Amino acid sequence: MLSVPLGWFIAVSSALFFIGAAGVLVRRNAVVILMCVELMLNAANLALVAFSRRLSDATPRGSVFVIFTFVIAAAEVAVGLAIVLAAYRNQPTVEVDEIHELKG
Amino acid sequence: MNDLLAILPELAVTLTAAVVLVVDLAVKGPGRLRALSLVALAGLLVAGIAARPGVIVTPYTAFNGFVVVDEFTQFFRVLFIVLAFIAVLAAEEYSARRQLPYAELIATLLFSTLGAMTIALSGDLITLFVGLELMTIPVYVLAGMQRRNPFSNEAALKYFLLGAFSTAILLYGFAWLYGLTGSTELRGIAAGLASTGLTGPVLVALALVTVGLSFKAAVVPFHQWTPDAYDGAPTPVTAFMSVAPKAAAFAAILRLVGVALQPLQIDWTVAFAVLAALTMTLGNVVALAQPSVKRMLAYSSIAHTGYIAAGVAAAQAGPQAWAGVLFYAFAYGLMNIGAFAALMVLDTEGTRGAALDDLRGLARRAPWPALAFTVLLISLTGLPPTVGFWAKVFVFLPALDAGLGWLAVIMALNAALAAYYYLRVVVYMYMLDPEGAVPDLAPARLVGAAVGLTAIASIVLGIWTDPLYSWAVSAAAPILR
Repeated sequence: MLSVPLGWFIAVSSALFFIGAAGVLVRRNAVVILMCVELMLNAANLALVAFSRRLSDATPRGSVFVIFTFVIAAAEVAVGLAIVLAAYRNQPTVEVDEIHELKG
Repeated sequence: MNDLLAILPELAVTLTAAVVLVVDLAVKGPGRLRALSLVALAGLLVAGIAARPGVIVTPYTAFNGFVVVDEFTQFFRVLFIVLAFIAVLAAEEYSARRQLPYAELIATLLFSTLGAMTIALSGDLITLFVGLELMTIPVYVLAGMQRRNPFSNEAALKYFLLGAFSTAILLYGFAWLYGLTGSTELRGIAAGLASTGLTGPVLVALALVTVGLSFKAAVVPFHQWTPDAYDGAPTPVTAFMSVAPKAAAFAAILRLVGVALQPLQIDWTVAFAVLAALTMTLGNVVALAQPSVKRMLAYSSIAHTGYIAAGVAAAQAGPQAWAGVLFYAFAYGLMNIGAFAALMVLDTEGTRGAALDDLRGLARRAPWPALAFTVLLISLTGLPPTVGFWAKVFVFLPALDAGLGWLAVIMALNAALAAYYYLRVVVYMYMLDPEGAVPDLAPARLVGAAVGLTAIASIVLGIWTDPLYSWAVSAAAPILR
C-alpha cells in the first residue's frame, strides 16, 4: 500500500484551516461564512484522522473524536441554517453587514 | 453500572428535558405552562440531590477515563443546576407574555445545562468538546427563540457565527494537542507534554485553544459578540447565557491549565493578567455609557470575566487563587442571573429590555423587586455585606500574593468605576420620579421569586461565607495536583 507521509496530510489540513479562517474574516455572506467554518472543522478532522493513523499503536481516539465532530458539525449547520432562514424571513438579506439593528 | 452512577445528575437532567417535551404534548389547557415549570424544577431538584452537595467525593474516573468525578465536578454541577433552576423560574411569565414556545425553551435550556455539566466532568478532550458544543448549540437556538423579532434573529446570528468560528479554532487546537502528545485524555496529554516540553507546535496548539476558549468566556479582545447577543436575546435567555456558558468556559480553562498543561510549567501570570486587566477595564468603561440597563449588564458581565481571569492569573499564589476563581464564578452566577431576572419584573409587552429611564420611581411601583434589585446591584458592585464583596476579596488577595500589585490596583479602580454605573440604577429607582404615563407592571410572581431568592442568597452567602469558600477550596484541590 502506498503510504502518504504525515506531513502532507498536515500541509493540506493547515491550508484548509487558513482558507476557512480567511473566508470567515473576509466574506460577509452568512451562508458563505458558515461554509468556511465547515472548512475549518474539516481541517481539524483531517488532522485528527492523520494523527490517529500515525499513532495507531494506542487506541484510535483521534478517529473516535472525528465521529463525534461529524455529529456536532451537522447539528451546528442545522441550527445555523435555521437561524439564517429565520433572519431572512424578517429581513430578506444574508449579508451580515446589513443586519445591524443592535448597535455595537 | 458504576459508570452510569457516575453521571446520575446528568441523566436526571436529560430525563427531565425529555419529560418536559412529552408533558407539553400530553397536557393542554391553561395549566400547561405551570405544569411544565413544575416538571423542570422537580427534575432539577432531583439532579441537585443526585449531585450530593456537601458529601466530599474521592476522585474517580468512569467510561475509560472520559469522565472524571471529583469535588471540582460536584461544585460546577451544583452551580449549573442552581442557575438552570433560577432561569426556569424566571422564564415562565415572560414566555407566556411573548408567546415563546415554552416547552422547547425549557428543554433547550436543560440540554444546555447538561452540556455545561459535561464540561465539568470531562477527563478527556472528546468529552470536553462534546460538552462545550452541547452547551453552546442550544444557546444559539435559545437566543433566536423569538423568531419574528429581528433583534432576536440578529443576536442568534452574531452569536452563532462567532461561536462556530471559535469552535473550529478550538477543535483545531485540540487536534494538534492530540497529534503532539498521542492522547486525548487530559492526564495522557500531561504525560505527553512532560516528554515533549514546550516546542513551537505545542505553542501553536496552546494559542489556538486559548483563543477558542477566550471567545466562549468573552475575554477581551474576543468579546465583540457579547453585548449584541445578550441585548437581542429574550431576557430569560440572556440571564442564563450570561452566566452558565461563562462559568463553564472557565471550568474548561482550569481543567486544561491545571491538569493537561501542568507539566509545561508555563508562566501564565503575565498573559492572563494583561488579558484580565484589559477585559475588566473595557467592560466597565463601555458599560458607563449605556442608556439601556440590559446592555449595561451585558458589558458589566465582560468586566466580571476580567475579575475571574485575574484569579486564573494569580495561580502562583497557590490553591486559594483558584478557589477564588470558583467562588467568584458561583457568586457572579447568582448575582448576574438575578439582575437580569430583575429586569423582567418591569418587562411589558412591546418594550425591549429596559432603558434606564424605565426604572424611574420603580421603588414606589414595585418596592420588593426594587429592593432585591438594589441588593443584587450592591453585590455586583462588590460592597459588603454581600457575596460580591467576598468574591472580589478572594481574587484580590491572591493577586497581591502572586506579586501582581499593579493588577490589584486596576481591580480596585475598576470596582470604583462599576460602583458608578451600578449605583446610578439605584438612584433612578429610588430618587427620580417617572416622566409621563407609566405602563402597568405585568404580574411577575415567579420572576419576583427568582430575584428574591438570588438577593437573599447574595446576603446570606455574604454573611455566612465560610461553607461556600471552603467548598471552593476543596473543589480547587483536585486540579492542582
